[in-house]
This record gives sequence, C-alpha cells and structure tokens, in this order.
Amino acid sequence: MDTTKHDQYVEFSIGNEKYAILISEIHEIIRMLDITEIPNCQSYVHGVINLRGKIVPVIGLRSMLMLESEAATKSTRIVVVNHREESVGIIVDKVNKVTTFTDIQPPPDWVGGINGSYFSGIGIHEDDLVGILKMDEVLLRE
Amino acid sequence: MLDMTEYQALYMEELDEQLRVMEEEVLRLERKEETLEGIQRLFRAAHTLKGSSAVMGYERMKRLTHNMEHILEKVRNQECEVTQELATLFFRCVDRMKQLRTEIVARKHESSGIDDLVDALASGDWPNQVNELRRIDRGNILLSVEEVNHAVRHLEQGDRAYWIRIGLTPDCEMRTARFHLILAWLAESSTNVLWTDAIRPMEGEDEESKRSCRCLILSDETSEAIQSRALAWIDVGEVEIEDCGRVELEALAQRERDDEADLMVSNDSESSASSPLQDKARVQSIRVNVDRLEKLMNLVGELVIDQTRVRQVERSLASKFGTEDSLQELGQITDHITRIIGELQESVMKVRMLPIEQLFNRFPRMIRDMSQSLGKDVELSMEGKDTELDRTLIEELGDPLIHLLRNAVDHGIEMPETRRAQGKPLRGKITISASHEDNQVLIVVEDDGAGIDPRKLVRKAVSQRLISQSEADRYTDKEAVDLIFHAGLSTASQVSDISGRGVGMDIVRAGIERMNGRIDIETNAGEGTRFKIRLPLTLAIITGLLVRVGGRTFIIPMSNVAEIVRLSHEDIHNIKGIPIVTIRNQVIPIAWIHDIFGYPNDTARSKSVPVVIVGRAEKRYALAVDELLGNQEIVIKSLGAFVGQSEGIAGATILGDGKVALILEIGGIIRRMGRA
Repeated sequence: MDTTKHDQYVEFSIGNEKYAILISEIHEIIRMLDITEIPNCQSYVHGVINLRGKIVPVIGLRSMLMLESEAATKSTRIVVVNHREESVGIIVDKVNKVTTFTDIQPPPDWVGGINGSYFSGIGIHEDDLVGILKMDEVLLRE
Repeated sequence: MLDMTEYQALYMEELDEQLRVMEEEVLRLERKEETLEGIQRLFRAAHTLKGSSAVMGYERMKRLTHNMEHILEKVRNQECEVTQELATLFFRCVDRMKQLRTEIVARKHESSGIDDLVDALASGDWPNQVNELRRIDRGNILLSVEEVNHAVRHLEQGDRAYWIRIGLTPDCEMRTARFHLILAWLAESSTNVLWTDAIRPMEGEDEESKRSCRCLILSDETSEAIQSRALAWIDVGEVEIEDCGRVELEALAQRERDDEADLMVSNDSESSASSPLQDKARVQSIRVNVDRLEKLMNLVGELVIDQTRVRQVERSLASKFGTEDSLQELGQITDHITRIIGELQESVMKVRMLPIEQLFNRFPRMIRDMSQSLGKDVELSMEGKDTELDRTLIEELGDPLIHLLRNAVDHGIEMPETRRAQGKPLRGKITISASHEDNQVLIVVEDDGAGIDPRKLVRKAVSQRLISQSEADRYTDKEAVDLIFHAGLSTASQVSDISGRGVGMDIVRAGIERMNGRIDIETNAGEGTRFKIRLPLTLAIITGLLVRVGGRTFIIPMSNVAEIVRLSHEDIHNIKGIPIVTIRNQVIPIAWIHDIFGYPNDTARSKSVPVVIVGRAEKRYALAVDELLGNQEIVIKSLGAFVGQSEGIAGATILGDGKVALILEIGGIIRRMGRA
C-alpha cells in the first residue's frame, strides 16, 4: 500500500526492542510525573497522574508486553494516547524519533512470545525492524 | 439535503417528554380520574408528536398519533367516553411508541407494525357508544366556571352528578306548578340542583315535550335510589337518570370558555389551549445541552483546585516573607476569590439540579403493571416531587429505587385475601417521598405490607449457610433485619419474574453507597417496611477528610465519618483474632488501611494511633491511619473507564500541591475488611 509509506510514526525503545505508534494516535509525550498508584489494580496499571487537571491512567508497556519492569530513568517518557475518548499514558524507556517506513510487513502470529494481534505490522526502515503497535488492541486486553 | 441530526436530537427529546405526559395521563384515565384538562394534555401530546413525526418522516409514529388524536378529540367533545378498554388500548399505543422510539434510536427507522393498533383505534366501536347510551338530550346547557368548580369539588368529596329527565303523566294538569314542586323535592333530596329547564317558557313546544323537564343534580345517593323515589312522586310518569362524569361536567363550562376564546382569537383551538402562564414560563427558561453543563462544572472544579493551590502558595510565601505589604494584599485577594468561587460553585450546582419528579414519574406505570400481573391492589402515592437534586444523582438513583419499589409490591404488599384476613384495607399502600434534610436529600420508600420477620431472615441466612447458627443466636433483631443487605440472600420462597433471585438489596446498598449515601431500614412484621435513603446534594464536589497512610494521601468522604479519635495501643484488643476497640461502650472492629491495601505498617512504633470512625447504616467501623491532615473541599474525578472500578476506591482528586489523591469508598473498604 502506497499511502502507508507516508504515514509518520513515533518510534520508541523498550530495552533493546523498538516499537512505534502511528503519530495520529498520540496526544502528547511528557516527562515522567508523580504517579499515584491504585491499590489492587491490574499489575500493568501503574496508577494515575495529574495531566493539567485531568486524571489520566498510566500503564507500563513493559508489563503489558510481559517484559521485566525497570525503574524510571532520565529518558523515561509517558506517551499519552487517545483510547476510546479517554487519555491513557504509556510508560516507555525512551522516545527515539519521528519516522516513516519504506515497507510494512504484516505481523506474524506471534512476535517474540507476544500475540501478533497487538501489532498492525512490522515496519522496515533501512536495516531496522520496528513493531508497530495497534494501541486499541493492546489496551483492550483484560 | 438538510442535516437532520440536530433535529433528530430535538425530536427524541420531545418524544421522550410527550411519551411521559401520555403515560401519566393514560394512567389517570385508567384510574377513572380523568379531567378535561388531562384529556387536553393528552390530546396536545398526540398532536405535537403527530406534527414532529411527520416532519422527521416517521410515518408509523405519525399514523399512530394521528389515530389517537382522532379519538381523543371525540373524547374531548363528549362524543366518546373513556372506557377501561380504551385506556388499555392507549397504554398499548404508548408502549408501541416506546418500541418505535427504541428502533429509531438503534436502527434509525421504524420496524414494528402498528396496523393492529390503528385498526383497534379506528374500529368505530367506541365513538358511538356514548351517544347511543345517552337518551337525555344535553343540548344548549351551559354552566359558569364557578358552578362547575363547585360541582367538581363535590365530586371529589364522593358525590355524583346525574342527568335526570322527568316526564309527567299525560293527565297531569297545572304542569308548571307540578314542576315547581318537583324541583322543591329534588332540592330536598339531593345535594345540589346545578341546572334545570323545568321553569321555562313552553311556547311553541309540542304536547309531548311540554310534559318533561331535565335537571342536572349532585347527590350522594345511587341513581336507583333517586329514580325509585322520583317515580313515587305524584303525577310523575317516567324518570330517566344517567351519570354525568367529571369530564362531561367540566366540558359544560368549557364550551362557554371556548365560545369566548373563539370571539377573541380566530378559530385556532390550539392557541387558546395554552395559558398565558405557560407562555411566560417558556420565555424564562431555556434548554441547555447537558454536555455544556458538565463542561461548566468541570471548569468550576478546576477553579476550586487552583484556588486551594493558590492558598497553599500564599501560605508558604507568608512563612518566608512574613510581613510584606503586597503579601497582605494577596491574602485579601485570595479571600475574595475564594468567596466568589464558592458562590460560583453553588450557582453551577443549582443549575444542575432537577426536580426528582423526573424520576418519580416513571413509577406509577411500573407499579400498575406489576400489581396487575401479581393480582394485587396497590396504590402508589408520591410526595415531594419538586425536591431538587443533582441530575447525575437522579440518574444513579433510578435503579435502586425501582428495586425497592418492586420489592415493596412483590414481597411487601400481601395478596388481597391475606390483607382482608388481617383486617387491613384491601388496597395496599406504597409511599415514596423526597425531602431536604440538613444538607442532604432524604428519600423514603414505605409500604404497609407484611414487613420483614427478622427471625425468618436469620433462619434463611443459616439455611443458605451465609452465617453460622452460633452467629445467628447472637443476632439482635436490628442486625437480623440488616441481613437483607447480605449478598445472596433472598426472602421470597419462590422465584418470581420480578424478584427473588437473591441479587438485590446488596446491589441497592452498593449503589447508594457509591453515591456517598446511606440506606437504613425499619420494619415491623405485619405492619410494613420503611427504607430511608440519605444522599448528598451533589456528587461532584464533597468535603473530604485527608489522611496519610503509608506515605500516601487518601481522602475519606466527610459524609462517612462519624467521629475521629486518638487511641493508644492498649485500647486495641483482640477477640478471636479480630482486633476491636471500645468507644462509648460500643465494640467496633478496627482495621489499618495499610493492611487493607498492603502497604508497610509501622504504626506500632508511635505512641498513639489516629482512628477515623466510619458509619455504615447502624454499624460502625474504625480505620487506623498514620496522620490526619485536615479536611477540605474536593472535586471528585473518575478514574476513567480504562482503570474501571477498583474496590474501596471511589475516585480521585487533585490536591493543592498538584498531586493526585485517591478517595476511599467506605462500603468497599468495609467489604475488604471483612475478607482481610
């Protein structure tokens, strides 16, 4: 498909792996804020933050993708996306760049132990392979 | 092509409103409490919907309302009487319209057929019935508005109105004198003679008509009694007597008014129907989209938060720069802002208030349908319909109240035979009332039915293994009655359509508690049950007690707090491993919020523990915290659908320092306490 090649993505890292989200799904990217944890919640929900007077839940992409969790560093960012008319913050290790892909391959059934339905495709840019996350699918998981 | 979505929304709004009006009035018709004004209202509702449905292109809705309007016009013009069958048919029409409404919402077009109803409405059966039955000519009779009002008052007191035609025997002489005598007798034996043509110039009438006269009287006797008495009078050959209903009576004056209106206005009957008062009311209120109100409320919420933050900054500046002049000025300004924000908050809150009538109006129909299907005779009376509360509360209150009312009809009110055997009035009575009490709304649902037998509840709970026998033996009656709120307990021996599945009162209580409200129950076996619900006026902004637990700040809604005490460790005892404290001779279980949420608990190191006593119905629980931080107005914000409901957490708020603090939901905390 021709059009997809011009779509812009925000590429970020979790550990050594690279993922991307369609830029139009992203509301904003902010630095780490104070997170108020919610007792007895699903483990991937880290808590809620005050985003300019709005209460926004924050989830850890690491735990969503069943990776080891890690303490926040200087480069940790919260990517705020729109999900079903709400904002949801996603904690990532590092935001790399805004990018486009020369080719996007359909995702395999499983990507390194993760259900392939979380991905809308595998973006190829020069030598890099980047998993393009389908945020609605990722966030809908119960 | 016009964009119809905006009109669609308006249409739906109107449809809902008019359907409510129709239901209300048809219910009145069925109870034989029809008034001319009510029929006018019903007629106007059908007429309005006919018009707007035609504009929107909803053909079936239009045809149905058109046919209803047609019959209602006949009713209005006294050409047709409202029978039980007609009322039932109207109910079916309203139900079908609701069905169509759902279809329009879901699929954007009507799919249910309406031909059966249209046929039933159009089949000429009803309209002509009345005139055939009416053998006494009603022509040319007018009463003044005062006379009719007077008569209606009598009807309300139980009198009845009758048309009487009295015919003299052919050989009677001195007819006029005889009529005079007859009038005198009537005046003696009835409450009131409203109208008669006994005394009239009889020129130009034939022999036959000269022998008869007509009267309209009010009496507390039956028509048979009056008829047999009248027949005994001298020279009276025949007596015909017919009922005159309230609507017919009111119409007698209506004609006069219509005539006047016709003189003043052109022959537009619709415009004469709306009173100047309604016109005025229309000018002074406007419809506002709910979203805009929500937005306004959110903005005020932000202001409240910022205002507390400004105060905090002001305080820290004051501690640094002490007596600076401009600092004092800042203090004055913030004081003023605080006051204005307080007023703004109150005004916006008032805008969001709606009379509870909106909710109550749904109940009469429900009670009617239920009592009919159960074969019970139930009367619902509603008080304080104009009590105002926050619209979000009204929405949330719907389900719990419906549940309580259903229970009252199903379990509360006994079958007529049982009631007769107990010497109670056959008709069961359910009362629902709303009022303001202090800064709360009090809603009472009361029935005069069987009440709840606490021992039976206990036995049931034991047999369903919800509590042990030894526990049961210790239960006081009050505690036993509270078992009704226990999840999984159902008192109905048979599961009916309506209730008895064991999901119920616990959900009602959870719903009320979610609104930061409380529900209490009073019951006397054989005499009835009363539920009292207390709610805050609004959900959006509450006073909260800030506490510190494990380095985190939590908020306990002030409405839940009964008292705050400081206890030393010696005050805390253990009974069978359950820590308890004794406060004013009451034994109260105590828990550490740390333990409930799994935070490290080092309160054992400090000398004394601050304890918040929270109340739930009659029960009290003690919650230990690390530190009390004081109380403040807080804006409740939802955690959002993504996080969803978390037991023990009602929502979150933003504090003066910009941090998010969680608001505790005491009901959930207590449930978790029970499991811990």
